[in-house]
Amino acid sequence: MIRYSGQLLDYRKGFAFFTTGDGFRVASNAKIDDPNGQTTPLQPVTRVYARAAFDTGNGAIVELALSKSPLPNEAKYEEIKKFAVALSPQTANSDLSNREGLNGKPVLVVFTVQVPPKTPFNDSVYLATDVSGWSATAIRMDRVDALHYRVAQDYGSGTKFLFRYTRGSWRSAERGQDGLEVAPRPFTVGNADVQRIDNVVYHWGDEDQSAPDLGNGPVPTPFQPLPFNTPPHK
Amino acid sequence: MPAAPAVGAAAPTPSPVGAFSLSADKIDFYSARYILTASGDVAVKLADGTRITGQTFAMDVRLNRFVVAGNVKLEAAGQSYDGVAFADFFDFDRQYFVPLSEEPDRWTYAHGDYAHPYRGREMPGDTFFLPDVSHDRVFASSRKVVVQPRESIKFVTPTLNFGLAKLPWPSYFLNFTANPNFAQNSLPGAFVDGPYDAFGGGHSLATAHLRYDNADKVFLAYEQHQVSDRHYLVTSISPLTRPFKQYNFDAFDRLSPKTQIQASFQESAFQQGFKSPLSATAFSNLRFTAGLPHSYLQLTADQYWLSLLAQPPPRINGLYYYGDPTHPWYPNHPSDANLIWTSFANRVFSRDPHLVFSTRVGIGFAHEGYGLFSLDGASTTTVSNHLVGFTLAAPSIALIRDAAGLHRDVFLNLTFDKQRQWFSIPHHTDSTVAAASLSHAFDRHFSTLLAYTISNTGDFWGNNQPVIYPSITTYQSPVTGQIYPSWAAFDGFQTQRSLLGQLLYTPSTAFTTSVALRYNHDFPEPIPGLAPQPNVLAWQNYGLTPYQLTVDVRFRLTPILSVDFTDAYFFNFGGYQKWSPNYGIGVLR
Repeated sequence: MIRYSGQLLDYRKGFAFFTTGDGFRVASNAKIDDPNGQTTPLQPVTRVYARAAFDTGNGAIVELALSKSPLPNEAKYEEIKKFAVALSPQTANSDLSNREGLNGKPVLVVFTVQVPPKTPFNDSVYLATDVSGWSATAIRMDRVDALHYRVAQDYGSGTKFLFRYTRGSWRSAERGQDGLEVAPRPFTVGNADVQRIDNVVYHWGDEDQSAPDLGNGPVPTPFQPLPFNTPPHK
Repeated sequence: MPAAPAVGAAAPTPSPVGAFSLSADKIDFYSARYILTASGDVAVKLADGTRITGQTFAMDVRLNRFVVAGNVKLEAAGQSYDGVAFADFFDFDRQYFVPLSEEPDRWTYAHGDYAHPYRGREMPGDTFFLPDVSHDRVFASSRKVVVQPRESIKFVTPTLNFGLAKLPWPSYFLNFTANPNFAQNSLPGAFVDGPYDAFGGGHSLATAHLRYDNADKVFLAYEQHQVSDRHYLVTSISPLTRPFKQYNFDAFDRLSPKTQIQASFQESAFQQGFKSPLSATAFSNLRFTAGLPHSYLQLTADQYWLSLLAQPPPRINGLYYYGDPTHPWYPNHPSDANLIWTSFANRVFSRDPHLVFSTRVGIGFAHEGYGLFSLDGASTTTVSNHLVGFTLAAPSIALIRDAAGLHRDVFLNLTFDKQRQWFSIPHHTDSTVAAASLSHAFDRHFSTLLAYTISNTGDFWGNNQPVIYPSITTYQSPVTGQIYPSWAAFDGFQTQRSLLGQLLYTPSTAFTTSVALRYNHDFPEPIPGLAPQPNVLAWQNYGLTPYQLTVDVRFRLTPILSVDFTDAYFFNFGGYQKWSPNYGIGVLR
């Protein structure tokens, strides 16, 4: 007897289907109970968790223990896969070959960005991503020196998203070296333990090229020719 | 059924996919995980007319795929198939089906060709995976939705869960497109903002906002987006329900791969409801950018209308105002334009990447028909200017290498910026900013920074220097009234010296804290001013406070929510500036 646990997709026409997509024949006298062998009010329907006991002789399920929560596994999928019933013989799937096989394990991703020299020293730099609705303040970065900001985040491998750097608003989002808006940067988390992303921001969207130091006090303007913010005087 | 042709390996296809509708007894959306589930009489109708019914539905919106399971019926290509589960992987244009006649089988469809299944073809192991959402909070519930893969979900008559209350709404439009133009914001700032995306589509979004700020308290605002991949047009009215309204219009268009234009227009009007305004002012800005070989050109232009309405008749004391003196009339409508050429960063030495420089030159003018500047009794209506400047930078010079190779090097960063700007009223300004910083990571958790910046600004008027900056002037604090006699020596030349030390502690990706101490020694000396605006940490002083300690603590509450707390201490500057009146608490997502 082999016991395998999973979630039911369906239970019909004498077959129990797990979310692996496999259908297994259920013996006509199969017992349906709870994990302790007691009677259960649950029915073998979609989304219910089940532990199936297989008769290794004919591959049929002889006992189906039902639960609302996942049950511990006693057998590996490979051990019961041979009992799955299918009209057509399995053929190889070229879609599944040459795939990296991203396994979803947590990966520490370190983003480091070099900012333009005009970046105000007191400003914060953020990562805006499509998965956070392009909030311009989605992930705040830490300043590591006058020209670099860094943040480390955990992501499951295989995670994909687009991102841009901002200074907290879309008006101050990054611009390319040619002063033009840049396309969002694509990013995919690989299977490494640590992944490092190094980027350069050449300009900010709210830069005034005639102001030598972005955001640091008043600069002379045509309407305020004096470059100083002077207090009340008489 | 004819044999299916060979099919190549699938790769994610960004080709557009049509919207599909989903109806069921209960549809739930879990916003924290972007998972949509449905149960009971599930019916999915795809854009090509394919219909799938079943007992349960689950869609990982970010992975862009769905599953229908339980007593499934697939109606496609004029046929009807009984089955157990159906899955559609939109990004790969693959559909997977477990049919059930006398015995089950496994069919794979490619490109929606339901007449030619690949029988027995191996499927991805998680094809029919049903996510466990038993511990997640439902944000929106409905009985019918329309899903545009990779873009949006439209909920028909949903109930939205705001934590404290679940409220019915006529419609809710959830936009999760990868197009960042939907995030452009034309609304003015508010202390609290609750958006409700009422209606939308692939290129539009209509959002009502419930907002709060100190001046208007609770009020409504409205914002409309029209976007494509290369343009956006965002308009807003805020507040809708208070007399002092702001009408905003922001537009952007990527005219060509090397040119773009950005425009904004803002009108501020005092009006009851939408009646004729009592007073109104406006501002517009245009910015055109053209990428050039190894440089770019930017033209910016501004136009101000200090009063948009007709001149009122003279009132008490010969003053001109609309209604009462709080709505004064100003005839001025100044304008200005600047054209700046900026080079890319170039290496100073061709073989050394550490030292780079960029240069800029520009011309501009400003005009105000009622007079822009007066000197010696002569008024000027137009002032032109031209400028030249350059920036030198040496980022990340490894000053001391970490012998152990653990990235604990000591790095030096250097920047130097110099600019001169000449004006047609005879003066010129010079600015020089030099900065150096040392950074060092002790280990993965502790790092430190020491930075020194010196900034000089000079305003040169030649023989008119004592006229513009008279030494007899007395400067005083607007809060304490204290006189600052050292300002008598101020004649248009300012020096700021700033020393900053920072310690950053990051024990985990879920918790970060930093402490920064800044010391400034400046001329002219700083004068204490008023309390800052909301969400601004620094006081409105004249110059920088001599000492400032800034503490920042950030911790992650959930995978998508972080709380950021920031406060600053000013060491009793002026006798009353201790902690910043506005500590900052932000929820980041």
